[in-house]
Amino acid sequence: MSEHSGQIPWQATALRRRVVFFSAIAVLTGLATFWLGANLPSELGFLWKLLVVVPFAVLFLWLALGFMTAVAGIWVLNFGGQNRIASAPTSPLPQLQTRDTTAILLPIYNEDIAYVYAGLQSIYQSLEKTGQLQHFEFYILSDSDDASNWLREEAAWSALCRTVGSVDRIHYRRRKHRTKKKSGNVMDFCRRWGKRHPYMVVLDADSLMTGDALVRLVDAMDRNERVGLIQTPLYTIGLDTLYARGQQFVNRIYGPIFFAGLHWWWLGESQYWGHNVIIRTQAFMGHCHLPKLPEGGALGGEILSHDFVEAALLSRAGWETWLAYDMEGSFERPPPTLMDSLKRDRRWCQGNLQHWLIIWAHGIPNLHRFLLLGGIMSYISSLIWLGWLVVLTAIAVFYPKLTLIPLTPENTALLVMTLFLLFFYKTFGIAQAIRKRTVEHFGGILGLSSSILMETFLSMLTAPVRMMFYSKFVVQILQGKRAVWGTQQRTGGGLVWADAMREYGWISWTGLAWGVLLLIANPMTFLWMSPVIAGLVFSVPLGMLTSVQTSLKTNLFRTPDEVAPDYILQAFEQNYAAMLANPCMSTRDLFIRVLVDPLAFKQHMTYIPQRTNVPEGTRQQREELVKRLLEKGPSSISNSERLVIMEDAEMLTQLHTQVWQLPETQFHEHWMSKL
Amino acid sequence: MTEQLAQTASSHPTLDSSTSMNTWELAKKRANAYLKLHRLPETEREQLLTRITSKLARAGLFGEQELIQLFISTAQAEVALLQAQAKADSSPQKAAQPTHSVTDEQDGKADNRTQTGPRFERSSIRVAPLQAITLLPSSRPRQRLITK
Repeated sequence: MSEHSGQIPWQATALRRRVVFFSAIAVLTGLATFWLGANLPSELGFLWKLLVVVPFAVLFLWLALGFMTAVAGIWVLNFGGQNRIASAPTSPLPQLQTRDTTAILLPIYNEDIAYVYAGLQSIYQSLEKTGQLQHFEFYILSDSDDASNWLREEAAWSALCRTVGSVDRIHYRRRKHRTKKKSGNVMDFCRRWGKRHPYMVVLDADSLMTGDALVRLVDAMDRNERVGLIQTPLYTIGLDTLYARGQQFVNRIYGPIFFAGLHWWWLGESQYWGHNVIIRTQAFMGHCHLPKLPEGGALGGEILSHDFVEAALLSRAGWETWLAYDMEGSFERPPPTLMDSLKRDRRWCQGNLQHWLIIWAHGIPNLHRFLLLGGIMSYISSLIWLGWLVVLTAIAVFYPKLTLIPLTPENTALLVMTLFLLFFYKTFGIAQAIRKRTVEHFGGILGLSSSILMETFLSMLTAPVRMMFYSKFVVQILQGKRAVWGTQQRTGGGLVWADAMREYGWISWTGLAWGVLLLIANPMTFLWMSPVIAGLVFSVPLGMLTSVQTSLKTNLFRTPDEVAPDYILQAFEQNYAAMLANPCMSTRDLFIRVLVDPLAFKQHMTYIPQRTNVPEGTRQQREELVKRLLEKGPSSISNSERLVIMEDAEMLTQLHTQVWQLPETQFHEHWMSKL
Repeated sequence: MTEQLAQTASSHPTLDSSTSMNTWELAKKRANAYLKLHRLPETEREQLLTRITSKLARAGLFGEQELIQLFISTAQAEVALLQAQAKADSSPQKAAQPTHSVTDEQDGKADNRTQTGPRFERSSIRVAPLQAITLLPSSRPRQRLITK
């Protein structure tokens, strides 16, 4: 794997661990599958038995993989830690020695600007507190194609630089053409400034990372020259809908266990999750410029989920990719509601299914092939599960007198084992909270227990809903229907019943029909499948429930980040409030302001190049645009026409003067009254 | 431009005095609104407006549109003059402000652009090859994934 030498200690360790890990999974899956298969009624034909056993084996394998990861994780947290890549969070903060600065990248696309800039300011302040701010520079990399957003970003950047007293450390660049979306945005940065920075930290629009975490990441990269990427564990924070708080709680109570477990069998071949990560710039530039997949198939075109692929390509080139499993101080926001989560999943599903083509590429390390497959399975497994349930239903209907899963000792053992694998890992969360004395931060023992019960209940009900949606996504994508990779909804809540009916109604009706069929045809099977049927039938109220705003004062779903928030989270709240109150956020239409307000006009003029050779055809089109704008006002031109004007210094200069020279009525109606 | 417009005044017919007074006030109000948006100190703004008004008082009577144009173009010229004077008088060290690079609005020059980022140090980057492997013999030719 490594370019530099033969056998490296972590690789031997990784190999041993993976043999043990996958052997345990194979044993569990084999046992479960044998028990199920051996106890199926003899009346059932071979084909039916195959259709029952094979999907079950696939699904059980992934269940066992999750469980074994949790087991590995609880081991690492209590007895492990020898193969860490970054310094322990409790150890003294290292002093960086690098002369070159690390770039912190913030790729944005029509985002909530106040949130983004407040986050950046908070990270800046957190770094200042470490005394090592001089080792970092920030780049806001905008792909925004809404004229108002662009102007607001510029104004907010200027305001932010003044607030923190820095012009040399926070940079702003807007890309005119959004080639290859986020991955193209980052690669554009590499082309322009990659040589200046040995490392880059890639953030998402809603990311927060403490100065402590950033310093430790840079230190880890400095000490480990073979490392190409270090991913941090992501902790979700910041929203108050029931769904989001549930996610935040689950993430906090079980997340450390799963991150540790993943680290245990990944070691130097970790996945990359797209943000809150540090990357060796030259390695990325040399190996991670993504190709376009062949068009024509359902999975062709630009690679949407770039992160998994980039990690695989780095690994292919001999670079190590690690997960800093116990690093604190790396945050993101969850989707606010179940529906927002599903919309995000629609995009991710398409991106992950594309990885089927990458799995078969030359040189991709085997573990990364497996991880890419895992990403695919996170969606395909829903279709398999649905198919399996349909098979069970068909058997129930065609063999109404048959008890498909009789209560034999083996089936009882299978049931116990399945429930154990599904739910036992939750006790690890409680054990960790007791060991680390953080039970009070989860609402005390009562709060913690009720939160676990509630999230178990909610996840049992939402799992069938996800199954239906994911199955639909997979079918749509394989039929060639594209997902639009637009701006993510990052705030929200407050779904109305009409919307919930529209989004979830088809699932409720399906569940109702399914339940009635089973109740009539085979009441015993109905009983076994009742948890799934219940989730489907109640999907509409469930969707509403997940969007309900909750009070942070309730004991339900409390987390340490709410009870004892880190400095950066407190700073963020203050910065966000201040940013919202900034005039550049409240101005109704910045396009009008730039054209009318001389200072705003002058400021914007300093951001754009002076174009000298404008073709005649373009010049005539632009004259027509100017004429229409002056005669009919700003509402007569489209967003793309606004962008054209905002990017053309000559047009802007002409318009600025001519707007001020308009007749009184026109001037007030179209311009001054809207300022 | 202001002088040229003013010199053609004599060829225009005389307007009703109350209408011309309203037009004059309207144009002056427009110029005042323009100057206000420059956030100048009150006294400075009033002085500028007085200067503009007295300059244009010599120009005869115009219609509303021409008068507004005159007032605005004169105001722009006066503000530009004021800023040029202020620049010439200011200390050599510029304050560290991201908006310090103010472009002359009538003659925007590329070298006055605000630097919102460091100088480029361009690199060329090649696309990663992704060539498919063939596991089993197939009647289809081996597919090579496209790279740019």
